[in-house]
Amino acid sequence: MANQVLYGFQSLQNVYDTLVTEIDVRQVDTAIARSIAQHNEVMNGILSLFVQTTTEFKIIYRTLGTARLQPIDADGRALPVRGQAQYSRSFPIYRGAHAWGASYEARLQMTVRDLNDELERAFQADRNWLRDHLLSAIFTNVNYTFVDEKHGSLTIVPLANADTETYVKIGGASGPSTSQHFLGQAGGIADASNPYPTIRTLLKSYADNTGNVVALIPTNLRDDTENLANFHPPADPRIRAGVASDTLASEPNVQTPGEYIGYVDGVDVFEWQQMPDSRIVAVTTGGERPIAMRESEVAALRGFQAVAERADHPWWERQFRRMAGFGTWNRTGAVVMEIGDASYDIPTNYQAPIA
Amino acid sequence: MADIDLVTADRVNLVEDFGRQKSLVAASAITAGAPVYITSAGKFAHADGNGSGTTQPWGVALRTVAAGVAVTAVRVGVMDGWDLTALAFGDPVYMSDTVGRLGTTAGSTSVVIGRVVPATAVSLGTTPDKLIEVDVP
Repeated sequence: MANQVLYGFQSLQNVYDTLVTEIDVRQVDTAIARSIAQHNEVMNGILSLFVQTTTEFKIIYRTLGTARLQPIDADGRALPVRGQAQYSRSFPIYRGAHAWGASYEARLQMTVRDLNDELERAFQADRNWLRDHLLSAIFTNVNYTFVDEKHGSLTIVPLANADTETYVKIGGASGPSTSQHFLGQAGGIADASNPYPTIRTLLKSYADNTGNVVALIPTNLRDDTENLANFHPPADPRIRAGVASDTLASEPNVQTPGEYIGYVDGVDVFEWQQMPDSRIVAVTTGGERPIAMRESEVAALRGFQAVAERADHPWWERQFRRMAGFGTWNRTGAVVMEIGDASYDIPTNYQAPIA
Repeated sequence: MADIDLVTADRVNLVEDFGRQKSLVAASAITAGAPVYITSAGKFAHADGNGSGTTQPWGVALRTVAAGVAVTAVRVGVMDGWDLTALAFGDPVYMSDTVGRLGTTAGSTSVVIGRVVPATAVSLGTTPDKLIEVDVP
C-alpha cells in the first residue's frame, strides 16, 4: 500500500522517484522540517479534544465551591465566602524515540519517495506512542506514583473514581460530593440499556464541562450503537431523505481521531478503531480538558523532533524523539464506560505507568 | 546443542553498530550470520566449536559470499535475522560445533558470541522482538 505524500513533500512530487542526493539538500531539509511541523500541528489538534498542554509538573486545580445567600435583615451584611475548592494535580513525563538507518550505499540509493515513507513511519510511531499514553491516562482508574528526576515522587490521580475528592454539580443546590467516572454495564448496547444518556447526564452535571458531548467508541460497539432507536447517522448528500424520515441536520465541528458515525441522545459518536474493545470514552467539547499533557519547560525539547544523526561509516542513522506525559487535570471532564461488564476494568496493557 | 537457523536464508541485519567491524577476503564460502575467524593467511573463514585452530571467532559475518570475495564481520553490535524463539531474553548465544553456525548451548569449546536482547519498537502489549547483541570475546 502506498504511503501518503507528507505535507512537506507535496512540492517534491515531480521528483518523487529521484535520488535524494540529486535534489538540492536545502529542499530536502525544508521538506523534512515542514512535514515535522505539520505533524506536530495535526497531533496537537487531535489531542486538543482531550488535553491541554502544560510545562508544569504540578498545578493547583481550582473548582467552584457552593454558596447560598446568607439571610440578613435591614442592618445585616454577609461574611466573605471562600468559594473555591482546590486540588493538586501532578503530571508525569516520559520519553520515546524512533530511528531509521541505512548503509552508505543504501543511503545513496534512497529516493525522495523512500525518504517520505521513512518519515511517515516515524510519524506513525509517534502517533501510536501518544495514543497509548493518552488512553492509559484516561483508562487508569487508580493513583500511581511517578518518580520525577527533578521533583521526586509525584502522585498521579485518575479521573474521578469515587475517592475522597468532591465536586460541585451544576445548580449547586446540595453540597459537593464524590463522583465515579469509571462506569460499567453488564448488558450490551440496546434501547433498554442505552449508555449514552447516562454518560451525557454525568458529564453535563459539572460546570467545568461545557459544549457538546462527544463519545469515542471502538469498532465492536459500532453496530449496536447504530441500531439504537434514537440513533441518527450523518446525512448522505447523495441520498434525498423521504418526508417521513428524520435527518441529522449538522455534524459536529470538532477535531477528533476516528470517524463520525452519528448522533444519539445528545451525544456525537465517533468510531476510533484504535480504541480497545468495549470501552466508551466521552468528553465535552468545551470547558476544562480532562487531561493535561506535560512537556518540557525547554521549548527545544517539545513536540516530535528530529534530533540527531549518527554516522559511523558505512552506517548512518537519524534519531527522532519526544518528551511528553499525560495526567488528569479535570477529574470530572471525561467518562469511561465498559460495556458487557458491570464492574469497570482497565483494558489490558493500559494500566499506567506504561513505557 | 541446537543450531540457530536464520529466518531468511543468507540474510542478517546490523541493527546497531558499535564501531567494531572488519572486512577481509573470504578464504572459503561464508554464510551470512556465521561466526568467522581469521586464518593464518589473514582471511575470514567459518569458525566452529570443535575444530582445530578454528575455535576462536573474530566476529559474525554480515553477508553470504563466495571464496575470494570481501566480507564484513561485526565483533560488537546488535544484529537481527535469526530464529530466536527457543531462547529467552538474556540467554547466551554460543558458537556451535557445526561449522559456521550459532547454537543454543556451548560447543566443545565454549564461546559466547552474544546474548538475546529485546527490540521494543512493537505495539503496546506485544512481546519485544528478539535480537542478538554480538560481543565476541
